[in-house]
Amino acid sequence: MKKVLGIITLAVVSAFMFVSCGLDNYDYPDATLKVTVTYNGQKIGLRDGYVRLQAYEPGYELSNPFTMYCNQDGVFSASVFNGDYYVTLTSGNGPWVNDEKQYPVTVSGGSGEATISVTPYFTISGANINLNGNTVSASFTVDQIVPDAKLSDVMLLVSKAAFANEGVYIKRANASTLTTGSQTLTVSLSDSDMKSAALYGRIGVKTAGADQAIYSDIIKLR
Amino acid sequence: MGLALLFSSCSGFLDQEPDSILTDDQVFGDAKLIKSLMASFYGKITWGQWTANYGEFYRLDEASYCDGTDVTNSFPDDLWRVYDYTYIRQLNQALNGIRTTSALSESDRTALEGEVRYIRAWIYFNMARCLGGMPIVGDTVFEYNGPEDVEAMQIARSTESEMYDYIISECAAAANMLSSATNTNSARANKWVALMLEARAAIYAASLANYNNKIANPIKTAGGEVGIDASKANGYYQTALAAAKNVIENGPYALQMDDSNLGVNFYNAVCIKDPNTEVIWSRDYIYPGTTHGWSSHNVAPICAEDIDMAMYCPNANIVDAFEFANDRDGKIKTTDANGDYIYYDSPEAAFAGKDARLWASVIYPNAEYNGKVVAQQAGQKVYNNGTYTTVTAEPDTYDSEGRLITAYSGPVSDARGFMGKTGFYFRKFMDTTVGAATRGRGSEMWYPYFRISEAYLIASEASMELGNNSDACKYINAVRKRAGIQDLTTVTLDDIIKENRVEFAFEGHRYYDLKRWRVADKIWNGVMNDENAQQWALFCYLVVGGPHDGKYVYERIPVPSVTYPRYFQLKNYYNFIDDSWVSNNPKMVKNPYQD
Repeated sequence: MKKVLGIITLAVVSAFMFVSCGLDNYDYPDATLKVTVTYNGQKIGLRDGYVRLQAYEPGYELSNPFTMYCNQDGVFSASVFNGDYYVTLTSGNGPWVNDEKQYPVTVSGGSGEATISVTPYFTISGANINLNGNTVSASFTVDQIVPDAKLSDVMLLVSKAAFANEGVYIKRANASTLTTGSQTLTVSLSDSDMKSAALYGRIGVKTAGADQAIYSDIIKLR
Repeated sequence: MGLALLFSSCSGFLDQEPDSILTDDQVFGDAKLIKSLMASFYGKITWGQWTANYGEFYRLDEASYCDGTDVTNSFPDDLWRVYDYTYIRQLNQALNGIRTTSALSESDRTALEGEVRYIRAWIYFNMARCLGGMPIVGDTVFEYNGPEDVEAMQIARSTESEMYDYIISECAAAANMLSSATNTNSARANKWVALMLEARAAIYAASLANYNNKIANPIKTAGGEVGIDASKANGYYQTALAAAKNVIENGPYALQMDDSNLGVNFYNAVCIKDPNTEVIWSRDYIYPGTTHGWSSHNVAPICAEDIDMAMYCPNANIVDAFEFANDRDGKIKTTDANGDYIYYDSPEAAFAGKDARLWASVIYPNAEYNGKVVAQQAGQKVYNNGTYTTVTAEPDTYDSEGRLITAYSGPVSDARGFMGKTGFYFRKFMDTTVGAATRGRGSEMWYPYFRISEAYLIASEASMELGNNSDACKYINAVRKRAGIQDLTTVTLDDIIKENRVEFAFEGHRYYDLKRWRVADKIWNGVMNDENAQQWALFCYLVVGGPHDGKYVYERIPVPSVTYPRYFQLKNYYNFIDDSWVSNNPKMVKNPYQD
């Protein structure tokens, strides 16, 4: 009898052990907040992971913001709960003029999207990059959008993968004179560069004092 | 009756004096307890990189992570961030207690007050170089008795220049109160320590005022919490020069020179506690009690005493930074103009004629350490019809003719732990005492905060910036002469940057120096295989066969265990203000690039 009682006790205790009160078990955030940064309706090319937005959910006593990072097409995303959020730009970080605005976005039913229209210091248009033999040549136009902005770098980047930016490339050419308007850049590849099965090119333009450059679309060379 | 018993208590049972908590009156009524309180202050005074925190040295361009793979690709927003108002409150409590104690003579009270105020200035300085201007609370000991007290504690940030002004004036005041005598192992602050901090704080403030305003988009906040007006630069340079000259001319310290060769001399000056005329203030360690793991974690495998070894190793970036005696470009030559190898008679021949401080800071291939030759050979270059094939093997492997392939201490180019991957090991701060490289004992090597050579380099920098190039040369050449390298006839900022880098390798200066000169984002530009941003290794190979049989060649490759180049963004010039601080104190404004 004692033994039976013991077993019953054990069963009862273990039953309690596997029950939780629910209070401490939160669901993980399964909704997606997606923000696209554009100029005149066009996406803006960025260095993925290095441009940040901040978002917060108002209504709580401590509404600390969280950070959203970009991909190279200028899309920022984060996993969140359904709710109403405000998104803000980060000063001095992206290749555009910072504003102090708060952009509202509602996440419901597992997703929420917003588009933020910004004013970049410069834009790149008509980017055309070709591979001829072992020479990569690019033609493009740098357009000044903010009148008092100054250029600090205009660069052609060649990469082996579909990612290219100031930190990731195999060859880089810098414009010797910094100027806006239509221009060309070329860079020659070494024999070992030429062995790569895939090659991509991208134009980057950096503004003096801005942390990050603006980039063209990434163009497949082969 | 029972009820009555329930509500009574044995007399005095709950009124016992606690035996593990001392009241303020007890502490400040006893000279011995005051001394042990001071010891506890010195025990929590170091942040960021130092020998006991050996795991932080791989982040810059001096050392590399060799115990696996380093995937760091940016500098954290709270890297080495110092924010400790609890500590400042404890110091202010101590200040109150010391000022009123009757357990000490008046002169002891004055000296101790100076010491506490110095330590407080040191904390503010550490906060300032991380965060810019922060709230200055003065001598107030804040008490919380209810929510109505909170508002008085919510103090706005000072401006960056107010912060440095406060540090400078506190140091000047402390210098007048402190003893001018030296003390055991330079472990406690004296007058000269306070003057050194005054000089360092002033040179930081001066270079911030100067160079921040020369970059394309000066880093500043609207309220001046970050950013110092350019017009203040000259005044700060003069303060720095005066304090540094005071230490050089009137202090009991001298650039240490003994009879040994220049390399050994420099090691002794930095690493040997007694006799020592070099170190002004250090974090001291003593066995038994307080030791650290710099030696045990970083020792070359051939010299290891325990299971830990070779976790962090200096890289070729810092080795190349040391000049040759007669060539200011210190880059170790690996190939000639035609791209062919340069053949050395011995591994160590590549380093002949280098700045003597290289020997004292780094163990390069075949250098001697603790009575052993530390061979570092990655493999063999086997000659075959005009080309070389690279042969590598497990560490400590010899070929059939008994010639070394890969040395016991590496380097290797895979991700294994406990094996060098750069071609170099540390010598600076390595302790040859028996047992110092074990887990059980640890090392009692000190970590200098201030050395007299810093006074010389501050004086040189300030003189240069104030337009007195002949004095700038005089001071920098004193430091260079001791290293056995040529005199300079003019000094530029670039010379100052280079000299500080090699003089203070692994001494925790470089990160803050590059920040104050606003060059960190240019040097650590995040570009793959960049000369500075990438961490480089220098692998030594034995030539087997062919016309150069038996010679040694070097190859410079990215450190195999390090994935990304160093990338210092503009946002990294100042740590971020934590959101929780803003929640507690809404007057706390955030730093640039933060939001």
